[in-house]
Amino acid sequence: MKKAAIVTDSTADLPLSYYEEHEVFMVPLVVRFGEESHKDWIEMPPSRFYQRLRSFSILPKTSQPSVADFAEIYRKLASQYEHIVSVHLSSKLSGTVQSAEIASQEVDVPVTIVDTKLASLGTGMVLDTLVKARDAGADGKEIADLAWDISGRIKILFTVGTLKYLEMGGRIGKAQALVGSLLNIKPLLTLQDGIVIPYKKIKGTKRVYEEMVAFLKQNIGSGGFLHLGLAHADCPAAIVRLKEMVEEAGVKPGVLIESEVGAVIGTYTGPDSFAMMFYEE
Amino acid sequence: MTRTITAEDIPRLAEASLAALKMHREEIDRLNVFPVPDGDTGTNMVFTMQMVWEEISKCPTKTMEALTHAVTYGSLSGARGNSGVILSQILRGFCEVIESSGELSSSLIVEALQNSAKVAYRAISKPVEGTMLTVIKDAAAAAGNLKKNAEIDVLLELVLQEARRSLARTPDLLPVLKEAGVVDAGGYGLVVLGEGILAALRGERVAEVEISPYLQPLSVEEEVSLEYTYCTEFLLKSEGIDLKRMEKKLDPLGDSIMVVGTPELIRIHIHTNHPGKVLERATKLGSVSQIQINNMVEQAEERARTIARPKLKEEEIGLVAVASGGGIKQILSSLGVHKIVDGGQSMNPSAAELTKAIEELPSSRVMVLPNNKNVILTAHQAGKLTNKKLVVVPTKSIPEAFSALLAFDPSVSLEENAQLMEKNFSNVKTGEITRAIRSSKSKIGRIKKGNFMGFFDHELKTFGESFLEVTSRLVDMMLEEDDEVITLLVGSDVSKEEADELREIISETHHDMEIELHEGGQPLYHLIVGVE
Repeated sequence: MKKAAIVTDSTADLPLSYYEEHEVFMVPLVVRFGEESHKDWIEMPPSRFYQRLRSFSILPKTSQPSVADFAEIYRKLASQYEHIVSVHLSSKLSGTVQSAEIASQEVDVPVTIVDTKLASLGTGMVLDTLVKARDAGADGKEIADLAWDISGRIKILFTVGTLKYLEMGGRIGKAQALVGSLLNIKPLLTLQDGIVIPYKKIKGTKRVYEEMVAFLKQNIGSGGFLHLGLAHADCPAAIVRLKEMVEEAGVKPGVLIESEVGAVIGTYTGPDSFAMMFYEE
Repeated sequence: MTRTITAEDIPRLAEASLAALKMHREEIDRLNVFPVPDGDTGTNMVFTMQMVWEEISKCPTKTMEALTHAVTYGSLSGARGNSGVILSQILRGFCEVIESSGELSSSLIVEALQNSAKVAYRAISKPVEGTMLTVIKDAAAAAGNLKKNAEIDVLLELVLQEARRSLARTPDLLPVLKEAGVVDAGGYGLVVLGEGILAALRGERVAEVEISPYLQPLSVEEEVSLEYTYCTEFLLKSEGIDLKRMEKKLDPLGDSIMVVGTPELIRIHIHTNHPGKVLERATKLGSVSQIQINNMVEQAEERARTIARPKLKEEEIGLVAVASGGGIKQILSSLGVHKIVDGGQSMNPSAAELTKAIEELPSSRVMVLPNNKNVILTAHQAGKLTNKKLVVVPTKSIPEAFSALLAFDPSVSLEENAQLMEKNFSNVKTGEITRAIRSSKSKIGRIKKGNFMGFFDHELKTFGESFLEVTSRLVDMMLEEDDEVITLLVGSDVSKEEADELREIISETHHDMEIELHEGGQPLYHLIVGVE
């Protein structure tokens, strides 16, 4: 028996190769265009998704994995691992945690379900830290404790190309205050207690980057080991620019992960959105 | 009369419950505001029951045990969305009790319902009241109080009655439902499902579920496209009219026609685009009274608006701004201003007008944006005339107001907001273009009547005969190195062509800037420019 299995869902927005290389078990959410449904990342890679999103008039919908999806993987893992740690996106944004919790009652080994209260690469960064801990020999309980700890420390700041998608997808929480403005305003949003809330409203695209870098500098001390994640929804140039500005500001991340925002999260952010997430060791 | 349900009945009942859900799918979708208001509860419940139905169809032996397994498995693998997941647990709980029995009696159904509630609650780590969980719990509790030898359909009817009552109470338990003016979507779906089963047991068609007072569309994107604009209603007194003929007469004029009453006193209701014609025809037949004409398009738009923006509450900060011009007012509203008082240059509002606006807001704390140097003092004056806590944010122009409002944060105190807003608008520069109403001398030269004058932060900087030239010069004077955004608010005296030309000229000369042009619709000022 191995010590601990790490399970997550597709909204951690890490590429499929990551899960293979690092022995992480990923359960996909589903994105649907009308009657068609596709497994997030597996059957619908981000590039194809945004191409469709930009050209289709129907809005996609998403569904959480079923209890059976989780039960199947938990059962399989229960025979090989002493403990299962299942790390997921905010339960305020999706019912994924709920499906996982019900499924966890089906197996006899301990299953720790971690509601990271994050999304996208935020969850991805938690995973990356867990993988390293596991490879260094940590057991299930230690990994679970670490997951809670890191989840609570990661900060996310993101902007969206348009608020339309958040609004239509209903994932906007208090950010509602931002909706419907006639001026061309770039919203900066964050996740607080698992809910999308506005951080600042900004006029001018350049200031968005400046504000993001300022937020990063405000929230880190000096000399700590910085984990930085950057993710984009079909706008790679944005994170290139953000990375440059972070560098210019004299901030040097110890670990830098870059990724794309997958189809399920992209359904709610829309294209031309990008995010920065970080924590310090 | 139904004494028992056997395994043979199960497929029929599952099919009926699926049919009922399908019928009400869109209504359920529209009610969906919790936990995530994405409007798919109905769709998810249909999908879940669809899988149950498919498993039942595939089931090789139609024994109670095989069928209950099919139901449990189908709902579990098909469960989609939170509502689907909870539904699967309710079904699982029910099936656990009945799986080894040959047929269902009333007492077994009671026990099964109670187990449904128990299993559903156990499955959810943090059960929230005011959802379908509450509905199944209340229904199960009501079942427990019933006579154990009741007819099954009578039992179900009474259980459903309680479920409906419980559903009607959900807005009291879950504030987000109350705010949206809806009952819980999943709970509604559960009632619909039960109605379907009861109807099938009685061999009836699935009846409409009557809880519509709570039914309100959630969608902000509600389409306001109605074939007929006016809902017209009135009473017609006459010496005797054939109701059917009256109805025929009205038919070409609209739809939703109702002609009811006696030949002497008729109530008429019609949706039409020609309320005048309707009334004219009616007055030829008798005397018309109690006329009511409502504009349904406006009503629908208003409803869409009120749903889009929740009502201001007493504990929330109210925002009052002084402005003129339709476009500017719209932008201010979109930025969160609750009340706009007409006014601006040469038409300053009185302190009493401001006080009235402040008093009309439900908030006990209010911020006022005067948007004109001459109104700031009046705004302070208004503060002395009200008992509400008032802060004047000393904005001297509309661009300053826009910036101030962007910094507004409903979650912090009045004082903190005043600071945030003042800091944000201090970076904005304002330019204004207006026309000289008479010739005059100024520090920068002799101005002829009709000349365009350009002001930068309220100081005359340039003038000339061409609107576009004066504007270009003014914008050049305003720009500094760090500036990024130019906002142009076009006045009511400027044509669309002129506005387009203006945007083009400024984009060409300042291609590194982000330029935003809006129809401000303000009088007096041909143009208001914000630079930041």
